[in-house]
Amino acid sequence: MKKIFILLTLFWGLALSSVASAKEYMIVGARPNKLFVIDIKARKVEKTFTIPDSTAPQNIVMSPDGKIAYVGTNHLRSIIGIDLDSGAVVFRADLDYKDDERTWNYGFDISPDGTEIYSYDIPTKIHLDRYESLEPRLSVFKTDAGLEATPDRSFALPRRIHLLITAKSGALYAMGWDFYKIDVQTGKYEVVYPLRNWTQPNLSQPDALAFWPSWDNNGIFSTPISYVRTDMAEDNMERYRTGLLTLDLDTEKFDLIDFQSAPEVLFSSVLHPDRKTAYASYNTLIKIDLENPHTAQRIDLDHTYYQTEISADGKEVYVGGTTCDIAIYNTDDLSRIGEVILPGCPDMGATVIRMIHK
Amino acid sequence: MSGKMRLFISGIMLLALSTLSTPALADSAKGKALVNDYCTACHAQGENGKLARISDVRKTPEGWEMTIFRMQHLHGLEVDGDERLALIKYLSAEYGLAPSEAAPFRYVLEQRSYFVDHAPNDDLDALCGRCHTNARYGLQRRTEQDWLKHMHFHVGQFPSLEYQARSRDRFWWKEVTTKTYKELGQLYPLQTPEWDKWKASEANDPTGQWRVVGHRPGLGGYEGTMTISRDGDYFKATYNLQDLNGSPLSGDSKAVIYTGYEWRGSGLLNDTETREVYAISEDGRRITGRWYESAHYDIGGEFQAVLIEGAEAQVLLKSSDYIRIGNSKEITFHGVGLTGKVSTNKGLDINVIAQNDTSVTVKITAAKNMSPGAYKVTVGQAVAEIIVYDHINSVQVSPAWTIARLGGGHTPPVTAQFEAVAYMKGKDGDVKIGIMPAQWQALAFNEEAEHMKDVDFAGQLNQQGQFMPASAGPNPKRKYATNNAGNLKIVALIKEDGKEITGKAQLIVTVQRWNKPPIR
Ligand code: HEC
Ligand code: HEC
Repeated sequence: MKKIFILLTLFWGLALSSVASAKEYMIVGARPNKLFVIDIKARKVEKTFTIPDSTAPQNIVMSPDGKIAYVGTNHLRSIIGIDLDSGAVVFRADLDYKDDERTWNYGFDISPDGTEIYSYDIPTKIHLDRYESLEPRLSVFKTDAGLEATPDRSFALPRRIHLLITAKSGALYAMGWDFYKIDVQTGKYEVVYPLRNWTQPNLSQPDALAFWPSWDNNGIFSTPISYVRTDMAEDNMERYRTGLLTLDLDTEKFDLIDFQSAPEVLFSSVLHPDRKTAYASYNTLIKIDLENPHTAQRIDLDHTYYQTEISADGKEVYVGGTTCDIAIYNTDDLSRIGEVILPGCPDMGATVIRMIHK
Repeated sequence: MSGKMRLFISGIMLLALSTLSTPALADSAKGKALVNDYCTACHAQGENGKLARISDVRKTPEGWEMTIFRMQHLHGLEVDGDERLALIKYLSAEYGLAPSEAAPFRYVLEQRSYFVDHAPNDDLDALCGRCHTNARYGLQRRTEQDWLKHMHFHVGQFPSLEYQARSRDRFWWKEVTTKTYKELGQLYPLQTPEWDKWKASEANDPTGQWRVVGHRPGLGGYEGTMTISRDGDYFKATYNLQDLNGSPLSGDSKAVIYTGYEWRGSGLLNDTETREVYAISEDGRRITGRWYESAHYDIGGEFQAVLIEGAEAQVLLKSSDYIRIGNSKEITFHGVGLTGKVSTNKGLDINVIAQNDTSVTVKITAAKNMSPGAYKVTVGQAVAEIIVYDHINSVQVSPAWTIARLGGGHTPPVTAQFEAVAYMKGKDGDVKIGIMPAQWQALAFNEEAEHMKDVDFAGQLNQQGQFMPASAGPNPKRKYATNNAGNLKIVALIKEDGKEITGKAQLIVTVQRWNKPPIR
């Protein structure tokens, strides 16, 4: 246990020092076809790209070298890779590549070496007078497949998956009814953390609908998750609980941290790089003490935000999504310290925020 | 993504079923030809003459309208307005619902802003009733296999369905494709004796003179006559109505009758544009339903008409339902065949003031020593009931729970109309007296609403019990800059002998509806 702790600290020490020299950027999309590169510490939009043939960008996945942004757009029907230096489209997978199929993408991520994209696809076969909903599948695309990329291989997956995450080892995790671990070579998967059928004593089936990547600056996935304490009286409001479900992308260990009864909706969360605190938001922004799990502070936001992110130095927490502003707060006391308004004020909607260092 | 992933919005669908602009409707042979021309490209015709999918379903005119709209919108079918109407008329005649099949769900056809939606069970309510009314599928009949195909359509068209709240916590897809489609095939099968019988029956002729009564929530009753005549493929109704104070309510309308009984009209009442959704009874002697302002579906009236020729004597509307012990008042009974002798139970004293075929006005006195309860008043063969009461014991606000919607842009607000219903003590619980005038007040429903000052922002309640919502959009004056939504307690206060009796209801003021399908 202690060993792991030391190793972890070491790793973070390394990680932090390696980014210290690089500049930190925030990547975010907006409707209908914008991709922004923001110098976040300068509160300045540095580059704006127009994504060809796009409706509303949602998921964004960065190549490991931070050069290419793969954007899910087109009503979840295309993945488009954009070179952040030149703005050129270097990759494009239109998932409707079969004439009689219509396919939606509900999550994708990239291999640690940047050569493969894993996409969770929901296909429907269009017959002349009826639709046929087909089994969802994992499609693996080669990132060098060009502008008419079709899958290199594909495998059937369970329904209702909404998030794919590749761990540092290259193992692919998927969150749906349960958390699955998928072998990207064989398509074999196993339940590694049951949710729908979890066996937590005295806790109801949990509910979490995580879409937001929150691991860029801390190496750990987290999401708010709600459930009910079935051992508490029906009229006791304390029985409605919120926790953080986490997956460490190095150790591949899950954890559930119960921190409050649920008077509020929380959409996303992010852990501080030191993992002593976490932040979560929606209509409110809260600071969660992880050492002695409880909500340490709560402020009202001026409108709804979907995603919570953090700077690599752990000093600033960002909330974004929904409209056209990213609000910036001090991680110590949640005081407002700035904002970035996207040029032309386009809606971010459900687009995600990514953090890179270049 | 997530729960906010919007439902596919099928655009604003106008209620085109009764459009005035259309000239002659195609007859049934033309309707059939149109189906052959337009649908068979994708819906193959089998050897038995049946069309794939089309012959496997039955629905209301509004149901067919939605399907054809989808064929246009999603599958590229191109038809003009006249053809569309002719198609709907033909399909509703060939593949419609029997009157008794549509009866339980008329509330949704009638475009009510308040109704209680019926689900056959809780599972179906969660599986289906969370996106649209349970009436939407309750008003359809399909083969088991077609119900299954329709499940494939749902997930094929709305993949987010499985991710939304109330789907997430169950295996929605597995459930509907192994169990629910069979259940629907049992509950709502394609073939039924009701439909076979209705389809084989002669069409009723609605032309003639009709006695009309109705009620406008918040405003009270109205009565009069209607004349229906034929107008090419349409029917014309001419109204000669008045409210209970004698103010005229007149106008006319033009209507299509679908499936032999589904009256869909457009007209003018006192120069306000109206829509009519009525059902003609199986014996062709009664028409019931609702009309509403074409620009405000929430505002309108209950409607009932009885064919005068050959009608049995009956009272259809009373100017008041009740009288207090020790009081006298004039009450008028409206109906048909009201020329008979007026009499009543002991204790009530009745004097006829005026009487003709369609109305009787009497002066009623309730003696001081009589006991409260329901008393019969007969006019020949016609029977009516008057409630005699001593004290109001409780007041209930109807509806007890409803919603109103903020207005803004091109969308008018959706009002909520409350009525105060008085009750007296009875042997087994309270007994209804009737609707009474009341003083109205809106309060915060709970602490949260108090804190958010919902009363100040959500809208205005007038002294007729009508709530007019505020406009939509984020309000910078509000906390979180939220819109003007609110959670209100609506209180009706009635005074009797200096005593105050109150009733309350809950009103949720919420955002606009983005799509207005003919069947919610
Ligand atoms: C271009 C092809 C095309 C044409 C033309 C077309 N349809 Fe369809 N229809 C479809 C497809 C595809 C489906 C299955 C998907 C769906 O339900 O929307 C369908 C489904 C249906 C269904 C079953 C679904 C339900 O909800 O009841 C009916 C009924 C139907 N069509 C009626 C018609 C009628 C009537 C016409 C002619 C006026 C027509 N269609 C013309 C393609 C077509
Ligand atoms: C995620 C929301 C959602 C759920 C859950 C859902 N529906 Fe629907 N349903 C829709 C929408 C949206 C349409 C309108 C489709 C269109 O544009 O015509 C629809 C249309 C329909 C129609 C009318 C189609 C036609 O053209 O006549 C029927 C019938 C229906 N649904 C039945 C069901 C049943 C039965 C279930 C449960 C097993 C169900 N629905 C569950 C969203 C939903």
